[in-house]
Amino acid sequence: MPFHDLYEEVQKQKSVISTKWLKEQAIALSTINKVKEQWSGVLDASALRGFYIEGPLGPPVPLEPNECLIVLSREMCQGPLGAHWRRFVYTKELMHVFDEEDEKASTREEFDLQIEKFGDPTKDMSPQFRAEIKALWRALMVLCQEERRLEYKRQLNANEISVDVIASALRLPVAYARELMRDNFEIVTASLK
Amino acid sequence: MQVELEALKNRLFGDSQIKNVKFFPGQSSDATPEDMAREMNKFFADPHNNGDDNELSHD
Repeated sequence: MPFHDLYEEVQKQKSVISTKWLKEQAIALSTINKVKEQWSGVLDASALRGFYIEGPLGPPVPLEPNECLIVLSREMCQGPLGAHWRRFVYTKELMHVFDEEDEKASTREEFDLQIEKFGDPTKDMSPQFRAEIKALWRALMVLCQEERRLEYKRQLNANEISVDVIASALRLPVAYARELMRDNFEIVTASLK
Repeated sequence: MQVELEALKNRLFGDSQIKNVKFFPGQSSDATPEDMAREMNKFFADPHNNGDDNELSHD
């Protein structure tokens, strides 16, 4: 299983995981053979931090089949703790190279079900929206080795460290470092490996 | 009338036939799907976009 292979490779890494390395691994392990990245100056991060598209796609950023584009808000990337936000948003979008065929949004109807749920959480769940949630948790799983995560958790529980310091060490937004330290992280992510 | 959503769907599933699209919503809890679609339409309309990768980070 491709994501499982990435997860196992992450565990072997000794230092903070780089998104450049994650991209190389994602290309090697998935059907995607190119990942383009753009920081857009017109994207208002309060509405949309970023998005992912798998081609084929026409101009201005043409994509062939099996190529993808990740667009990030430049305002977010250059704002407070911008590098940390860039790392997490980019990685979450990158995880969509592992979407199963039935998790991909390739029709107007699938797109509607998926995007409407962002605005109204009571709308029906779909494989596409579930893949949004899976990618978020998979991003957390690949941005910190499990051994390191458990050590940080131990230190946190012993009041030896704060979530803010963990976030800084991992170069992640504090809110997502907090999710990494959840007591039920292992339960939530067990089925995603 | 969801103008932005319809325009975006025409681009993604009419002009092109993309295989997948996914989103990372912004921090505003008031942002709607129409707002998200507007941001993507703005991106596609940007005349300064030459199609290249930019601001590559190794972080």
